[in-house]
Amino acid sequence: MDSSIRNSSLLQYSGGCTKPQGPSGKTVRVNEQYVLRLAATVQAFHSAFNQKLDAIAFLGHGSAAYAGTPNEFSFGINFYYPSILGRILETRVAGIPGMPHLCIRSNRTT
Amino acid sequence: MPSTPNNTCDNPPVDCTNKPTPAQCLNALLPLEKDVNTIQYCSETITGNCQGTQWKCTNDLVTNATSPSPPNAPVLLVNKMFPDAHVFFIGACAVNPTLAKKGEVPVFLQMWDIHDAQFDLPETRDRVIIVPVGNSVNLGGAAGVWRFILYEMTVYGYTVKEALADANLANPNQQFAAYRNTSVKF
Repeated sequence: MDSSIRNSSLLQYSGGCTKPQGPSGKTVRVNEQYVLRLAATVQAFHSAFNQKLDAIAFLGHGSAAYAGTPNEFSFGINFYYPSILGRILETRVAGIPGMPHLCIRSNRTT
Repeated sequence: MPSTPNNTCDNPPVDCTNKPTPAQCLNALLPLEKDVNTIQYCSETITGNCQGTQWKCTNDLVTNATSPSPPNAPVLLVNKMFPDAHVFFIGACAVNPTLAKKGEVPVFLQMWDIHDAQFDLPETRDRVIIVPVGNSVNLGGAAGVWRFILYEMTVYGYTVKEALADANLANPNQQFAAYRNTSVKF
């Protein structure tokens, strides 16, 4: 799902292009665009890492060792995958909506 | 005669008529983990207070699974990932745990191509990673912090350091820390 970013006057911009703003028809350049990846698969995450994004975020569960103890630490992150009757389906099928990661992209060249 | 439940949980379901019931179709958490064989127990800057063995752990069985083929490890097990994004935000528990000693690189941070003067070398690229401080984080709160940071970086043109300082000031109960090059801005 794409969304948009508001400017300092809280005018909502459409992403990725220029757009007339209000009656004046003033054109404002838009640089940023949200891309919310609802299909939060590992593959989608890997793919995001190979893109020239301004920002990428992961919101979800860590992969914790010694969970719930003072020595708890994480050494990974988790993604949702479909499971039927307790059996995890083949990991390379498309995932279901789960914990989204969020990317910000613009016309980055570096 | 009831038909056999569809064996996918895609959304929308591939076959809505035969959509699995909640009891049949449960989400499973699938980990993307650092290969424990690649863990660096002490950083180069640690001389005396590195406990080392505190980071010992084992990978989830699914990350090494070879069946059903193909093997999962190429997808689920990593040594180090190289984000091309300028800003990488993580809202998850225990990624920057309290047991880390000064100068030690928490295992989670070892997963990413990261340099930080606190750990080894200053980061000169436009790369920064933002993680919660401590062992737990409220995911909704983390989403709010991320939104706060994005707003200040995109609308005000703030650097990560400036936006994060404001975010931490506004959220005293949940602090976040940035590593690498905190002067990054959009």
